[in-house]
Amino acid sequence: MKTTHLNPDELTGFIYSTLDDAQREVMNAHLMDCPICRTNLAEQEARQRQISNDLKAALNFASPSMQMNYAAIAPRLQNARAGWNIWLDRTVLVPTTLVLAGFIFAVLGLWHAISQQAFTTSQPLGVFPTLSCFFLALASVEQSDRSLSLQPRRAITWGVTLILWLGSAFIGLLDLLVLRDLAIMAVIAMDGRNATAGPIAIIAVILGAILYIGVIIGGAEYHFKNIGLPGSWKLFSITLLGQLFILILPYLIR
Amino acid sequence: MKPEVLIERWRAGDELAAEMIYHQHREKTFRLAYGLLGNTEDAEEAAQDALSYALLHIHQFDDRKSQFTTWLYRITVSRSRDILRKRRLPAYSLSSWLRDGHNATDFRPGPEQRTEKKENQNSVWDALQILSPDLREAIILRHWSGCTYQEIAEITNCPMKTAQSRVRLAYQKLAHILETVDFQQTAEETR
Repeated sequence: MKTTHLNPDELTGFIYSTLDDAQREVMNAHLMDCPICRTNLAEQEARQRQISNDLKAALNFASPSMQMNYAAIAPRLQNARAGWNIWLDRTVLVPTTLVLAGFIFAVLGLWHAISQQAFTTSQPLGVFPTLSCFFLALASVEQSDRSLSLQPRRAITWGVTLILWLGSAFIGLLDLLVLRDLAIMAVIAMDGRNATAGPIAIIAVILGAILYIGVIIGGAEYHFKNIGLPGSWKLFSITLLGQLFILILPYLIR
Repeated sequence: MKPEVLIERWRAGDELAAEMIYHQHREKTFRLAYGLLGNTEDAEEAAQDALSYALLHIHQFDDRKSQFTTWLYRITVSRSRDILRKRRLPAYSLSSWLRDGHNATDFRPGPEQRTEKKENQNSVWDALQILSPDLREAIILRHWSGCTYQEIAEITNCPMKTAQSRVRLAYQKLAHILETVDFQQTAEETR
């Protein structure tokens, strides 16, 4: 049983039916016994009705001019229907090209890393992972910007999301190698001995791997729930730009 | 003729159906854009753009997922956001509005329209222009078009809880602005 009077937030929530069942039950019980809150609620309801009616009246009064007519758009419709091709649609072409470029460079980067044994020894990763990360980051930023004005959720969104997620998972692995090498470099620079570098590198990799697994699994869940929404593209952009920064970090330090 | 029949006929290439869809939605699309943008010129541009986009991309509309109106409103909201971003309409703060005696001329309807309106409707209209675009979208969709929270979330591309809190917040801000204006007017009258 609620003992204090209902505050404006609760009253608004009650009027707009945004409370959950439990909150509503508590408020109903309180309203039964509190004439002050009943009066406040009635005032708020009247206020809301007035605002709603005024808003409707203001908008329903407005009318478009005669210049806004079908004839003005008819030529566009006719031309577009005559030569419509999905692959020439910029909203399809740009993200597809960017993610495909990112994907191809990722495959080349993987091939280079395996052939150079970069997973087991400290070898430079080459330019392909950086290029891959750059194109994927560009795709996610482009989608993030477009999602603010994107209308339909296209089937292509799923494809782009999948490639971005796979790409960020792969680049995350390479980032771990970069962090491992940086840890070794830092220990050698500070300590001057190679002996302590091994355990430090292992600790760095373990910590990085925990973070990596968390980001990849948590990210997958988030992207699945929010596919195509600005939040998902924003998370991809932040992740990939962060990963790009880690990839170019060795070049900045040297 | 039923909207779904018209959509099917337009998909099949019947241009007369496209024209009928256009006329069925012309005024509502314009009014939504007008509410979001605050002036006729921009609203017509956004509405015209939204209608032509919807008709051009009719193959992307999935009637199992939403109603055509919801989809069209989503496009209209999106086009209105584009115009707001592109033209960088000046933000109008509450303090400057109160200082100027709430003559927000940039955003209000034309003079001939304005004279026919009641004073209280004008107040709500002016107060509406002070809200942020997100809140304005939410309150207009809720009160003017009668959308559910689920539809508002779909149209404005946000989670349902966010749509709910935006509607609530928009109402609270509108009520607060109107109360402040009432208080100031009363104070001026008693001076």
